[in-house]
Amino acid sequence: MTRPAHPGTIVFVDATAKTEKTVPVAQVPDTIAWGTLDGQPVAVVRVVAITGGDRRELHSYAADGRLISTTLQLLQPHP
Amino acid sequence: MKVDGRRARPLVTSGSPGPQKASKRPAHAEAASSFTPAPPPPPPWTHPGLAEYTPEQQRFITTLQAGKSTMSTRFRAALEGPAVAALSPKDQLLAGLTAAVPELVAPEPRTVLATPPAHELSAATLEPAWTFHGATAPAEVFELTIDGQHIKIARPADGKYEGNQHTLDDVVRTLVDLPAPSRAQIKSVSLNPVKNPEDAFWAQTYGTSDFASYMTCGADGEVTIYPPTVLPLDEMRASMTHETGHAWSMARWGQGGTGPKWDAWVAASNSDGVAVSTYGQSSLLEDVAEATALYLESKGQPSFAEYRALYPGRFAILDRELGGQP
Repeated sequence: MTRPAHPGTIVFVDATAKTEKTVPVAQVPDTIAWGTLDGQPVAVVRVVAITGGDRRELHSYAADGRLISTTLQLLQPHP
Repeated sequence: MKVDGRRARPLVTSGSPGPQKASKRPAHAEAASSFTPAPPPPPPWTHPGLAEYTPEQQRFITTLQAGKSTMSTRFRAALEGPAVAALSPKDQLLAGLTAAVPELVAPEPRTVLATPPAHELSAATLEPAWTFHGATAPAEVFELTIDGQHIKIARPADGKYEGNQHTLDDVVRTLVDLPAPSRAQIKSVSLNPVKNPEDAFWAQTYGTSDFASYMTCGADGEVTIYPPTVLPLDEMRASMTHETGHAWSMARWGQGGTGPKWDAWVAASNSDGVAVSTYGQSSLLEDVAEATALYLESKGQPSFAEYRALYPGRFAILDRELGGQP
């Protein structure tokens, strides 16, 4: 499946800490930099992390603002 | 937990009750002499701290005090606790609300067991090189048919996982039990053999390595479940309900939380006066997802009517969006 060109950077937002940083796509794992919408590959350009209690959610967005995926993370017990 | 500080229009407008209407009861009804009147109802519950809250929050608190749901039970227990007595009246109620409103919407105990929808699981098909997230391996692929909806389920053929993982039976039972509007968002579920390889990047990017991925929901309807966390099935179901809540709300209302539908939700949230959960306070999108989980997880249960009374604004929107009242 042919991918379109990636805009080149991804903005990672920490909505809880209210911070963000822009990272070149070359420094981001391929599985984070790309997602799928309507069966087609789409570039991720923005990821928003929201942390609350024992969970964190990561929302990935395309350049046109569409939500690509949400990942739920859970706080792990310390061994 | 903070009480939502956003103010909204008054719930009840002031005004006189108007002139008394003449009784329409027939005269002979007044003459019934053997009737013993019922004792007067107890006075409405009140609390000296109530006046410190907005009318919306007062409505919420008094409804909560009278309820039987988990949230109501926690509220009353907190107010009766010894630690609360030393607080100011306002803070007593805040302590009650803090105890009542959960960190995260959790499944309400089910006292009414719904009839499971008709469903059928196909025999496994062996796929020699299935693309899991972060691994390619032989897979057993099943097709679960529920009420005419087909959902593909994949698991590694060798049954080996990098830590604990849900079983095929867990997935089937959860999908069958999932509220239909949530299930409609799902096309496939993959039991991933390995932990999410992106966790290391997330840990580096967001400065903590204490989190591990549990589930990814793609907007295309692909769900991936990762080891090593295995939740109780009702929590797994609630997680799916929450995550698919993001998918339907953004698909129908537009992306990013802006637009008239989102504005309507903010107004409804303001009029409700109190957050659905602490986590729901973290953003508008999470408020919708948490309210969706509360709505769908309690639907069909006695607690549903109570939650509707507590969150009438949000539930009215969810009635329209998710198929009306039960």
